[in-house]
Amino acid sequence: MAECRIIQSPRRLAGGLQRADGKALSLSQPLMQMNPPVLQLALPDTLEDTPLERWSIGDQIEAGQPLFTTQEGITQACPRTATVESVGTGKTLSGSPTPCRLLNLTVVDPDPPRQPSLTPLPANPDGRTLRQRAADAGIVGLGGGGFPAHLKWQHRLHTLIVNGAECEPFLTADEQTMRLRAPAIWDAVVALMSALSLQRCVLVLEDNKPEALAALQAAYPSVLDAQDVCITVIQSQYPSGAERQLIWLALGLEIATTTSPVEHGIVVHNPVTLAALADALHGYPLTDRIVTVTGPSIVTPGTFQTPLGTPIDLLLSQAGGLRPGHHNVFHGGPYTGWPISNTAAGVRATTACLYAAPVVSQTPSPCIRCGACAEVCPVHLQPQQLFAALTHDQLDEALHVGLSQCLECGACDVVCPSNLSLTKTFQDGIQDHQLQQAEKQRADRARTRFEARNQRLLKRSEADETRRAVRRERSGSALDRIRAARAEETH
Amino acid sequence: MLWRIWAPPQSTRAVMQSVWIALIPGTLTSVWVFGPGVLVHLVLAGLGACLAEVIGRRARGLAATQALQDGSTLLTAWLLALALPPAAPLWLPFVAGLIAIGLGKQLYGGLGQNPVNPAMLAYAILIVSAPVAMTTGWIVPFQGWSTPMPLTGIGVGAVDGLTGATILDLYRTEFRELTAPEIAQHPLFSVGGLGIAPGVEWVALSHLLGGGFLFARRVIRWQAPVGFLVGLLGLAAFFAIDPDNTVPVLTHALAGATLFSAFFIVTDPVSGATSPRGQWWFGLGAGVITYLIRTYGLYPDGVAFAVLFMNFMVPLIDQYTRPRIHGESRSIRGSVRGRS
Repeated sequence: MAECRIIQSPRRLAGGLQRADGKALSLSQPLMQMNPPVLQLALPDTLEDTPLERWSIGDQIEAGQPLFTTQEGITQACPRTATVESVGTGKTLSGSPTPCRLLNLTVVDPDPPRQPSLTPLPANPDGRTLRQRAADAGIVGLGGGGFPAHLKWQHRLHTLIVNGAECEPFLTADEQTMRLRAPAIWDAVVALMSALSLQRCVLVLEDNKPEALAALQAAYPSVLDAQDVCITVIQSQYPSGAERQLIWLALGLEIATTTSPVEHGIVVHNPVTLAALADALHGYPLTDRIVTVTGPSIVTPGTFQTPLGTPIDLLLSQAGGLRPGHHNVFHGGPYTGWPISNTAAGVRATTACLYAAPVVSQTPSPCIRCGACAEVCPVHLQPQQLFAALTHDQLDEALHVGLSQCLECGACDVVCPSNLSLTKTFQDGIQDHQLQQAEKQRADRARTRFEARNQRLLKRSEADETRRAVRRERSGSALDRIRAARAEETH
Repeated sequence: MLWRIWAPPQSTRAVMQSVWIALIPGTLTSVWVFGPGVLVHLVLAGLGACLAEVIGRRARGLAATQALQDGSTLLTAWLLALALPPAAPLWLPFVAGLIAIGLGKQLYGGLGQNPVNPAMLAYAILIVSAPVAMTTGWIVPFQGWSTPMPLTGIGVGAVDGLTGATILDLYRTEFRELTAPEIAQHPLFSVGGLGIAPGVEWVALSHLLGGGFLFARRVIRWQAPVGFLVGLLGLAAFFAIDPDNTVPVLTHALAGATLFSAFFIVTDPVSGATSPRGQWWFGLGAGVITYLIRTYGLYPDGVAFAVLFMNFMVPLIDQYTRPRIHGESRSIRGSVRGRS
């Protein structure tokens, strides 16, 4: 019987939040399968052809059949066998002003695909095969990042970290997956370690998940015995699951935000992503994901195995709906979630959690620099200084004191006695900075172009000048010849 | 739980109210030692401060009704009332309240925007502009209840025994002729109490109690108060190698505004340094300057000037005491990175 090494991390996050986690709320129910009668999939903006060129109304699309491929190479499979009901533009989840193109499907067969639509891979695929498969199966970061997995594997890597921290209160998708799908997670670990020739794997868990730990230990494959694999248990604290914080807790390495962990040879994956990858190895593309529907406003919170594109409304009503009163539904958890304005929109690959809470109106008061925010900041920023700089339109100063290092974890908002929307202010600041950068780049490009044009014109006029001079000389000499000839004639 | 849970007061108002509660022991002791004048000052300073707050908010086009909700205005007035001499003429606390809030706070844009401590600004302006009223209003401890409140300030100091110098004043003036042990024989030391700084020492110890409460509620950190006390008492202890010509360390600790300032003045978050390490340097600087003013300066107690000076140092302190950001190399802290 194989035994996995379990290590207690000696490090703990400076700052961070220690709050009631609310996870029991959605874990009291078993995982439920969603069988929605309709699906609504948002199409990427980068798709070259219009949806109508691709599908016509009434077309039947088989489950697992590719729908589209993004610029990054991710192929989205059709989650269920369905007919095309309509295509068009509509509002996104967040209700952003630019509409997105939507594909509305009527489900014919509500069951998940029974046959693999891709050829199952042999054991121990090589790196190239694995990357191709991840792209073909639509494997993106299911923890909430949504970053294509295969792109992370282009770097030279040595360490895999499985991010099972799930530090944000109320979120349970990772935990439920680790409890129920531990063998699949290990399968993916085995495949990744051999395909990418990784030297070690650290699976990180917070200490509030003993059941997940037990399940992972029970499913630990003896294949990994010869390898450097361990489970590291860290103390429960928000936001220990943020990538750089997690790497520090697991390995003791600090990685600056100017570089990405993969550049240092460390790849971090969410357990849900790994479970999906294990399915992909068996030929099943990503069609479903696990969604936690929870929060104080949900009648019966729970976890749901949900086809992508399932309307949010449907998912909420499956969880007993919202309690009476005014509520906000957030995409993501209570701290990092953003409000969903269009609940008719479909579930995305990044929808790990739907969190509903009563609307609370809090009037902000001025910052008194109490420093409570700095005490909880996991990257040791001073949010009070950032806020002061940004509210005085000093973007440079804000960048100087570390604006671009902000994780946007929202811990400062939670403790602020003045009820300031600090994270929102920082997000806006970062966005302004990015716009400025883009603007600067555009201006730089324009200037380069302008200077190049001036150079070109100058060169051309110089060339013209020399040509003219040559011609003048030539014509001059021709005239001389004529004059000379005439002079001869007259003589 | 395994580690402490960050459980601060949940609103700005609650923060201010915690400080109010912390000021109660010191205020009651002040009333006991110096008489009901302290309460009269409290009311008058409060009136002046509120008037300035309302006018200031009106001028800035804001609703005046919300002016007093956060409790910070009354807190400033309260701090002032405790800092002023208890028998000062009655116009003084009112004007002090007006200056503190009007010039010290509203002029800069209200709560959170003031670069200097409003109470100390008012104190400093008044001690420069009205030095007689600001220094002669000290009642002999424990005689406050038997002396009538002066209404105008005229005649203050004229009647011997009605008002008197503070202990720090006494040392300052008597050092010309006497040694410290001889000064300690002065009748002012025998009015009661521990004989270190009669009367005032009880007030100081009550403030220590209030400060402990603030620390326990995590409204203040230890860095600024400890820095202040280390700066002031450390220098006092060092120079105590010459005990005849220096004020004893315990007198420095318990006389004047030492403990009051340590817990209620240098801990002001708005005008102080913002990182814990910065607060340590801020407190230390204020303590050192207070010692220098007390020993070599013209004024009997230098906390106000020391704090104002350090307030102006805050941007510099904040620049060099910024905590190292996760993942940032150790060498670039405090540099002017990103400003090129």
